[in-house]
Amino acid sequence: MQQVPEATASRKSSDHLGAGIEGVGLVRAFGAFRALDGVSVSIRPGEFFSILGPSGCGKTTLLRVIAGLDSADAGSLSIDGEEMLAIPANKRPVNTVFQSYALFPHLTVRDNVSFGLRMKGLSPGEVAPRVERAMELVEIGPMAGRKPAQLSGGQKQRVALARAIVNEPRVLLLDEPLAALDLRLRRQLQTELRSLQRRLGMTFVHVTHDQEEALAMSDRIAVMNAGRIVQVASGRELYERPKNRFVAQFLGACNLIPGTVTARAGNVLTVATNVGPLEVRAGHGTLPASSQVTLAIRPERVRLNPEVPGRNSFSAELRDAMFTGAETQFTLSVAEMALRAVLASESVGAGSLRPGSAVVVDLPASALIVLED
Amino acid sequence: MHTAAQRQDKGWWFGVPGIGWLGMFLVLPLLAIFAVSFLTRGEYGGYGLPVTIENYRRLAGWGELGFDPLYPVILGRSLALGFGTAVLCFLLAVPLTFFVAGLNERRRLVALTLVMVPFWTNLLVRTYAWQLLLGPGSGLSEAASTVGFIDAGEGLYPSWFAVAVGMVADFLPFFALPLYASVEKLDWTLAEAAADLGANRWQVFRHAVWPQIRPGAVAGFILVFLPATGQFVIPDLLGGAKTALLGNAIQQQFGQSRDWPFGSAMACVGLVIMGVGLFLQRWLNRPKEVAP
Ligand SMILES: Nc1ncnc2c1ncn2[C@@H]1O[C@H](COP(=O)(O)OP(=O)(O)O)[C@@H](O)[C@H]1O
Ligand SMILES: [Mg+2]
Repeated sequence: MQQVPEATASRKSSDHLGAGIEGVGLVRAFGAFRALDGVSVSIRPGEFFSILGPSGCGKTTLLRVIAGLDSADAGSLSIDGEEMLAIPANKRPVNTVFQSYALFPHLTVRDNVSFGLRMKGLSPGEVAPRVERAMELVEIGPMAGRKPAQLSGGQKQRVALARAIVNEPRVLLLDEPLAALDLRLRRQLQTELRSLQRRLGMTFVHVTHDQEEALAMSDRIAVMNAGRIVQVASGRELYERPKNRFVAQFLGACNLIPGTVTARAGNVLTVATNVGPLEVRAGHGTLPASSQVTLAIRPERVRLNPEVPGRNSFSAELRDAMFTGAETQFTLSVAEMALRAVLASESVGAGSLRPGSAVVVDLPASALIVLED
Repeated sequence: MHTAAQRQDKGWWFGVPGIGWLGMFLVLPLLAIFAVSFLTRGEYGGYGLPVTIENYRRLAGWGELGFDPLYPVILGRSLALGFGTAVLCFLLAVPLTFFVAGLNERRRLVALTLVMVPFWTNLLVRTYAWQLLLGPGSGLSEAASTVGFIDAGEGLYPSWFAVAVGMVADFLPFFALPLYASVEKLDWTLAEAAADLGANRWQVFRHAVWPQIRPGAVAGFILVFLPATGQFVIPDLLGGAKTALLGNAIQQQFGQSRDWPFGSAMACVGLVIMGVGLFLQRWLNRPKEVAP
């Protein structure tokens, strides 16, 4: 995308335009079904905040409640400290990029983009330069005279974006803005959206069901499931320290090993599992002896045939090896349990790791995560 | 393989029966009427030579006794009746169709059937029913006189009010059905997008809803305006048979006055107005050209 024109660029990150959002106990029920089942969320001014969750978990509903397009049955919502639930959509300092784009089919690209400013009653003299700038920013200037039906998916997406940011909202809501685009374009626009957000300083609340996308773009991510927010953290923290099975499995592949706590010595827990006793670093929670836990480990943290076996090493049978380019995926079997491991292909020696061969598996204590459930 | 054009070439004779029928019973009579409108009234009715444009001059107001606006007034009154009916139907059909479209599926079916129920009874029967409902001494008239809308003892019928009621009752389905077709497939996310962009309720309707239902509204308007302009039974029966309209004026020329050429000229003018109306509809609903 283009260099940001002066008026927008001159805004220092210190006086950011972005507003903070505070939702407390938000409930939205459709009949007996609760699409939002007590959502509390705190979004910081000017951050790129993603809401990640499977289809149907209530992401769109949450955005609609923030935008004022849907009402909440309980809870409170404030933007920059101002209570919002009683304020109609057209009076909220929020604009939305809709999942379906929702461009006005009878208006040209230019008239779509200028819509918000015209509704506010700005004079044509004020509207025109801002519209040109916004169209330039997302590189749709040459399409200004076209109707939405004459645009490709990616172009429509850009028009929807320009139509929202031209109003310089304090919060921009994006509902799976890239979901309809092909992979290559999606990757490109992810980068563009991210840098656009940095430059504009608006608060972006971005909904997606694509975990890679959320990890790549966000300052923080809220993982949602069945109408509730499960965990809010940075992408790295979510990946490395997921709170429960849902988060662990939703963000990337994960081996889950059930077990029972047998001993606790300072910061180290000993957990009895099917593969043998494992030493784990205790998390923040207090886990008394004999509590049931689930341990998680990412496939790329599993070590095979380590030079120095650790405390959590045991022998296993290699069932399957699958070369996928840069990395090779292994399936191991230990005590009736399947474990997945991923190694960089170049580190896999030619002979030793064949299906059927016996291997030593090491699950480093620092890589094992104790889950809540 | 046959291209679509080839198939069309071969298929022309499928249209023969329809075209033949229309030619025989629509085009020929219309041509006859057009021709007759340039002839002169015979001594005892009928028509004959010489060829003249006298009928059209008379229609425009130049009578034997100098300028007389009688016929332009009749024409204008008929157009006003058609236009007024269409406007009233529009004002009622918009809330009606939005209400119906918002119902659940079963109720929607019931509501749509109710909209069409008037078609099941004859126009005359319905109009006489209005006479009873609105006549002096009826419940509605009593109610209207207690709120001071009319003097005590009078009826809501006969009056222009009664005409409006009868016209709207008769023509509303013709407006509501095409409008409903547009309202039903309304894309509400556009209304939400407009509200999200700061549009108030009126602006949402004007900029996000109206463009979507406009084709239905224009179709409904034409479907009501054209026949309502030619309608004279309802105004006669509910207005007290005091006013001449295009429809009964034509009927009178072919009937009592036995002036077929003049009646034909009136009919031709009516047809031209309808033609203009249809053209206007196509023009209003034309796909917009778009710059690259
Ligand atoms: N207007 C509605 N009426 C009934 N159920 C709804 C409505 N809108 C959403 N839902 C339900 O609420 C749940 C969450 O929907 P949504 O927020 O769109 O999910 P997501 O965007 O995460 O895919 C879904 O199960 C959906 O069926
Ligand atoms: Mg959604």
